[in-house]
Amino acid sequence: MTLELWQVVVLTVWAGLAMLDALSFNIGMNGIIQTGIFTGLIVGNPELGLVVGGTLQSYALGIGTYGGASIPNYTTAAMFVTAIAGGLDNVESFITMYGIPIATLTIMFDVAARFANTAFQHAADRFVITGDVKKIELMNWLGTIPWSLSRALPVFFALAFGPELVTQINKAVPAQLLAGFRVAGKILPAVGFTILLRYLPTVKNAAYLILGFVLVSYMAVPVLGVSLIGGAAAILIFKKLTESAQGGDIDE
Amino acid sequence: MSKFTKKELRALNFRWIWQSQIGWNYERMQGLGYLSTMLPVIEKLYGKDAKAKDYALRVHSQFFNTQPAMGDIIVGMDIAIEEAGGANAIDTVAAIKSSLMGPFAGIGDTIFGVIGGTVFGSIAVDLAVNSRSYVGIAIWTIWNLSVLFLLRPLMFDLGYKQGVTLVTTMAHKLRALTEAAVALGVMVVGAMISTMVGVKFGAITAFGNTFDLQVLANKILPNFGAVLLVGLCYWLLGRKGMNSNKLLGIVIAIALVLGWFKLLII
Repeated sequence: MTLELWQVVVLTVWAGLAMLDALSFNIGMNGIIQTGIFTGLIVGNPELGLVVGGTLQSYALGIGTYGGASIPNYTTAAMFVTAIAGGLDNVESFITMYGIPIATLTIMFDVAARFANTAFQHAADRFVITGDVKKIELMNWLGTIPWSLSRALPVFFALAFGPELVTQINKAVPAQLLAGFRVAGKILPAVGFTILLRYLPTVKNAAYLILGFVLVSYMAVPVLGVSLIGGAAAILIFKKLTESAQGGDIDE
Repeated sequence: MSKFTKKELRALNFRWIWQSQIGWNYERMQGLGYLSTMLPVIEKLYGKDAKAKDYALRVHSQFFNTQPAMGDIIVGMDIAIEEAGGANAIDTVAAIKSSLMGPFAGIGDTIFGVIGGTVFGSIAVDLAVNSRSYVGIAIWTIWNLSVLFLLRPLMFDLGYKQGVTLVTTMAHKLRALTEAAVALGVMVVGAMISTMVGVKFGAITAFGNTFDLQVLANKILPNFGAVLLVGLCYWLLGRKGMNSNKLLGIVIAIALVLGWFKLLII
């Protein structure tokens, strides 16, 4: 489905502002689900946005921008897929066929923004020498331009030119490949979870991994319930460690 | 005697929250944001002393990067130390900044990343995808707002009031908190592997008989396919030269090939 100009403009502006929120207040404007819902509202189908955002968020659960690393931009992907899917039929294949490529291709915009800001850093360094405090602050603020463009530009181009391309591709893709993409959509959360398990001391905490699995797979406890049980375990662990510990250094 | 009013301190905390990362760059990362945050402090404390001001500006432009919320503590500490010690304390502050940013980033990423990203994220995903419900994302938003309006000001005040002593008094508490958050996070991942990784096997036909692989898998373990896939990914990601983007490609390739031959189905 094609979009009206106002829809493209509103979504582009949202993408740019949301990135600034992600860098600072982090109330969640740039969240994958939130952006999906917002896009859904703009195209008149918030539930579609909820499902698209939720599915893409499941790929990113274990992935954070630790230490300034660039990660696939699932937020832009959620906007694009919600905008073009048109409805919940075949949404899984849309998510993987178009969402994943967009999320990975737009990584370069993130890299570009982080790189562009070095120019403002160098300018600020000159104002440090002259002691011009106002200009130093201005240089920092100017960083908002590359940052917001890094999200606004891909959203604009994808929404302006993507729908036509998608229609063409959809006509050409064989049914078996479409089935494969739907399967991919279902199994991809494994990647995000694995990244997180590799980041955390999983081996040491294997008991909790098994417990979480068993609670859902054998006992059908909802995820919220597992979180509460996990929260209870966390309280006990915290109490035990703080009662026994005699101070010490941070060793991580 | 405090040189900063409560209002000024709140404004400085807000400066850090807003400015810490808007100028993020590969060279100094949050360094520019840190410097910009500290400008009113530098003006107030060293405004009349050109040499001290120049020194403070240079020192605060150094490389800095940490988890932003943990940065609140460091900025709070920094202001308290410079307020008490003046220009003589700048070197102390520089040492504290560079020694704390690494460990604080590790703790902050684990606590905020795991609780926010994983726990609230998982609840939101589960309710959004499996129940078409907005409740999960509402809960996550409440958490985000609580971090912004309650936790971060609290962390800043903690840093400001306790200064460096905080590091020694809080060290084991922070470590305990990190361990507790990790256990919670790992448990939620265990749950999410069951609900979100939808590996469903198809059937194969051999010697005139059709075997439904999923029936076989169910006899071994519920969600056997999910466990198998996560195990495979975990092993792959531990191999040399492997990274998360390559893994993403491999998993998509597996899905496309096995999906084409209906060995994996929806």
